[in-house]
Amino acid sequence: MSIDSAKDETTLANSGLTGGDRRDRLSVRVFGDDEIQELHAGALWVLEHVGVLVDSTEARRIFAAGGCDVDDESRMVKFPPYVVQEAIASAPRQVTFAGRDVDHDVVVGDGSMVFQNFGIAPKIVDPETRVIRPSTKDDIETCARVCDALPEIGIFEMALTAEDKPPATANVHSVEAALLGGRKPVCAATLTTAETEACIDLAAAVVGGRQKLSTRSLIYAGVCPLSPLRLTPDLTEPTIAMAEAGLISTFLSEVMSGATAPITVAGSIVVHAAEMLASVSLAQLVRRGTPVVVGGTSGPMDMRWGTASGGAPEFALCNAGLAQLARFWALPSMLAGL
Amino acid sequence: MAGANVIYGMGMIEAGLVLDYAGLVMDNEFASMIRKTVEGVHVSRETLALDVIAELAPLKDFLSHEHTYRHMRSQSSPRLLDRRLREQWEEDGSRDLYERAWDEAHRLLETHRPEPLPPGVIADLRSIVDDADRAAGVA
Repeated sequence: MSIDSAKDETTLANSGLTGGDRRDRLSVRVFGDDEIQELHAGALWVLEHVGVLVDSTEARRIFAAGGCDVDDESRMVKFPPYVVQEAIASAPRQVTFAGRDVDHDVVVGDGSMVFQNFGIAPKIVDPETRVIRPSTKDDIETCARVCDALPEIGIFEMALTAEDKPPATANVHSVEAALLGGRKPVCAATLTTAETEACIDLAAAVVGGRQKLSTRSLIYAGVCPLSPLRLTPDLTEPTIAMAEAGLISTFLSEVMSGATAPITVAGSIVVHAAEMLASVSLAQLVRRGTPVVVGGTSGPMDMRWGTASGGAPEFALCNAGLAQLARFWALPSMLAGL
Repeated sequence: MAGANVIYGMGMIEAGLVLDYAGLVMDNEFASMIRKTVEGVHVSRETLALDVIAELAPLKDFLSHEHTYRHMRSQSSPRLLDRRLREQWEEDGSRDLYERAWDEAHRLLETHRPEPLPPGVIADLRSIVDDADRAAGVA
């Protein structure tokens, strides 16, 4: 018996079936449309009237040239709303993290979903002894190899630190190890221009030159604002170098409600959102169309213990709310979840 | 479920200070279940299966029907989570989830060997890092 037979068509004619074929992704909405507008307007207000502290002279020069109100003495940068709106508009809604080959490319944004390992940890459970010890460059290569095998991991976040390498270049060694170990896109968790340029050279060597790399973002920057509302050179130097090379920057804020942001979920999201938009503005002012991703993880500090309360309901609300805000901006998002 | 495009955190323990391969392998499995859930439910004539229901219910079972065979691979099928009953689990040595995850992690550590980069590229990477070390005065 087949559904396509004439008999079934007759039988099912009065069933109310439309014959449609549909699948809706499961979704959670933390905020209504009005509330999203309020949060967005709140972030713009903070950027316009409070501003963001930017340590680097070069980054402040870029903001000033882009229309921001910059005070070099206080190092504060204030953003007219149009600067932020233009930055949101010029950032692509979808970005492609490139693997060593196209089979390992990952498209992020516009409804896609991919998972990522955690980073960046300074210790590892030794697989032989199960003793927790500082991680090494070899561990990074091995971990990239294991992540290469796990099908749900689309992008290799820099999982570990190379504690056995000199601090000045450890992050470059880490990227070398990750590129050797696996074929998935690699996070270059660099903090300076020099480190970032060296990592761009590494990725260019793998894909066949800087020109080719500008269309194949085998590495990307994973940088964090310093909450509340400060962009340190750790963020601005890699962001500028990556944007000039045409590579992706991911901006990951970690706001702690009640410590580095208001204790309320809404207030925390506003601070987090303002940091995201300031960072996106920098990347777009360096080069319009620079691929960026916004995200991170924000949530409460437990007021009794002074610890980050991972797994708290407020974390879920904060991160889900930020994902919704990113969709409102039509920007790709990267948030903590597992 | 709120539409985050990249969801990170697999393999992390102790508030982000420690990476655990067994945790990484377990999280990979949990991620596959999250993906399955978030993908939602496909609704079509084929999946509503009214014809199959009419053919078999109420007296026959669906196990041997071609429709079941056709769609069985779309079911969630965990490798680590053990859906069997206690007796069979005890017969296999009563190994808990964490131990089974380590087994899988060791299997990957020992057997997974992606194709290496070409030797010339490996040499290029080495010299770029050496240059960076020299420039930073830590060579």
